[in-house]
Amino acid sequence: MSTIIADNLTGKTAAGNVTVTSEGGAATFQLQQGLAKAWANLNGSTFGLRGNNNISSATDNGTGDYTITFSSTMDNSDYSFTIGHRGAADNDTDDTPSLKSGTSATGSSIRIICNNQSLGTLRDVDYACMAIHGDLA
Amino acid sequence: MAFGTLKADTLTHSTAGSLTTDYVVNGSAKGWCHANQVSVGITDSYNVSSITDSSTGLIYYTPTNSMNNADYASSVTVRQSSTGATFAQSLNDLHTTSRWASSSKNSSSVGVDSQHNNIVVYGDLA
Repeated sequence: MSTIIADNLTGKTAAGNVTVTSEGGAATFQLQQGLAKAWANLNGSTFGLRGNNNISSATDNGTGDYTITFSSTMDNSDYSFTIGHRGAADNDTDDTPSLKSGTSATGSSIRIICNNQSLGTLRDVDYACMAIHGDLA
Repeated sequence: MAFGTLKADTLTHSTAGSLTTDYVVNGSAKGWCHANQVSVGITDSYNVSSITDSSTGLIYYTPTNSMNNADYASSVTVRQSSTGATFAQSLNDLHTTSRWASSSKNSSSVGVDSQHNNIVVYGDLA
């Protein structure tokens, strides 16, 4: 078994491109593109970050309305964001998290809301978990 | 000789610990996409060659490199509409090794197109 001991991985031809061979061996993919550039586990009820990477702060804008600010900013606002959640105490699956309208994601932050489909109102969720994939600046 | 190939089972950082490289290979997203289904197109992506506006709310994503099987994991999210209505997005069972699929519906379970559809896929590439 071999071990690489290093603090940094940098591509030789292009610094931002380290290629990894796929599981099936038929393809390669770019390591940097496959890594989540930020993730967070947010408690929306008592409000606070349980865990995160590359998150500088979380802001409570009101019930079911949160802003997540990145430590290292993204290169543009076209990144992919995905959100998972657990509802309030009743585990209500009608609590649907989404990117808030009118406040498009920016390179430095993303604003999400958790709307209860049945009630038609915003609600705080116990767990709002998100991951960002895209290009860092 | 191509620059440069390293073969290793473990990566070790000076302070942050070690990681076996199977976590790198298996734990990396194999593709992601931010797509617009109103003005149909890919906003940004990795390992996605095209999208298809199959029907209202239903998007097919064609990966450049296909998956090894159809048992991969994917996660999807949509942006709230400009009118404030919240769309819910889910995976669609029409997915295959060469097609990822997602559906967006409103609170009445009616398909809706969104400008901001997001998907991330984890699993084995072919």
